[in-house]
Amino acid sequence: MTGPDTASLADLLDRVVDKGAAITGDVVISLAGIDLIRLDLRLLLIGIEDAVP
Amino acid sequence: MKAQGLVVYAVTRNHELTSGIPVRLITSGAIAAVVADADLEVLAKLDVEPIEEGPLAALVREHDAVVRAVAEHEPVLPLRFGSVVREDDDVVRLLDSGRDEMARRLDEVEHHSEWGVRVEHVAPVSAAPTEGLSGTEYLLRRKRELGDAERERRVRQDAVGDLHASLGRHAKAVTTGQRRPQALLDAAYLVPHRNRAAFEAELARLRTPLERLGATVHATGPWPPYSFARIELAVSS
Repeated sequence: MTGPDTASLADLLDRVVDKGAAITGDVVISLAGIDLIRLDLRLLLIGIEDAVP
Repeated sequence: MKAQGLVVYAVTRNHELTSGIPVRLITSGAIAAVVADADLEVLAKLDVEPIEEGPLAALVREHDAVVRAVAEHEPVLPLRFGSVVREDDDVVRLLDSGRDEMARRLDEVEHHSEWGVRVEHVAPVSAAPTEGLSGTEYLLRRKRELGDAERERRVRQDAVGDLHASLGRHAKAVTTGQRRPQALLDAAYLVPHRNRAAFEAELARLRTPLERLGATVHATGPWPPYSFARIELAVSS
């Protein structure tokens, strides 16, 4: 029987960066880099899928 | 002095933290947040480029490793990567504000893991040569090709529907997204540990016909329940 496939960096980003519970409100320290990553994730995912098979 | 913040990895139950992971717990009643002090400079300078061996990839892997280490012993609600607050009091307020809901959600995900399944199909380009065909012959062939493609598409769609329904029967909850344009299915399943073998067997059985139809099936897991912790914790100072 085949097990699960190997998780790629794209799989990891897809879950760890984009999903999960979020904290909102003024206690959150906004980090420009991470905000950008989240914003661009859709494009990034398609991009990495092409770059990293 | 370096600007310090607190990275919040996950919400879990108040328990004795296993030694060996460089994090601590901030507690409120029966629940707790898994946190670590972080140098904000490092986080602020992260490059957007998700290079396999780059600093972003390393931090994302570390986040996942912490969540998984806690999940080995206790149920977790993973927080999104990059959840950073100023100080311990912020985390206490966060826990106080949604304690009942978080406790209830922890009960829901206890003894469950997440599995991801993505099915994609990229249409092949017609390989047959068109040289020497008359206009009529070409159009007839094109029509036949389109008809075949449409039939194949329907067969694939049915097989995807079958896969999704069958996997869903072994899961407590299911979410689907459509983030990649060529994806026929992009789903996450919250699978009870006792159903793991049945889920995997079903996946192995049903992916083969899809692969024969030219689709790729990409399955990953077990994951901590990232896709089933989509709550917003609104906190103000």
